Amino acid sequence: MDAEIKKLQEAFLDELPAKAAPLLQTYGRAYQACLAECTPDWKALEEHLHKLAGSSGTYGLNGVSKACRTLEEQIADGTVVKLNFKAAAQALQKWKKTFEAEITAAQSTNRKGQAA
Amino acid sequence: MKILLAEDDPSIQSIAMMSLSRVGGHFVTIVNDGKEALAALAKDRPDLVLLDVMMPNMNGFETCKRIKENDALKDLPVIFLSAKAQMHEVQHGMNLGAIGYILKPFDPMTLPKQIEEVLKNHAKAA
Repeated sequence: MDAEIKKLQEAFLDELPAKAAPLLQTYGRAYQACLAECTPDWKALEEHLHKLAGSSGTYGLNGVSKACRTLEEQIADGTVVKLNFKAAAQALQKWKKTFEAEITAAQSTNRKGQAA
Repeated sequence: MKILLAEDDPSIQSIAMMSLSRVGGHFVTIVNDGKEALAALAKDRPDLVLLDVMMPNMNGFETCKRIKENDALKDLPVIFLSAKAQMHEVQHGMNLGAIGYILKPFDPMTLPKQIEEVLKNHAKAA
């Protein structure tokens, strides 16, 4: 059973860039909107974050899940939505760095595991 | 046990199927949204419906509401399986008639046991 789960996990990790792409596209639009001082589509971003938080966590990628969950909650509770555009853009940019670091870490762990 | 799982994320579908069928020994049918769930229920009655909340076309809450409004289906046990974990969301799901709310992320090795516990507790309370 563990081998089967591991196989599914490896497949998930291989597909992670593709799975993260819609989120990052929506993030990109939100970030650009903030820079242009237009209200981003927070709902769309929240939904993408929500989806990836759930799936990545279920596949054991706790860092990726936590990164998504954090921003999802900040959107849901208004923390980031209430910021002025400049501060919101900065918050989004900071989040993206964390998110990408978690993805890199997860993939690096997977490659080490496959090599072993 | 026959389980109908409504879940739109293919990654969750895969691991939930593995968990419920291989670990839990259940017979699982997967649909992609609430509308497909209702269509499946019109053809074949499972023993349990597992519903994600955020789904296209018809979300889990609306699907549960429609199940509970249908005389032929209202006694069917419904459990939500969702990352929507705010207290008001969980309460909303339970108020719609679900017997349990299992949060994502879930552990595929223990999900069948969690479902068993929910069903056991529900049977005790009835």
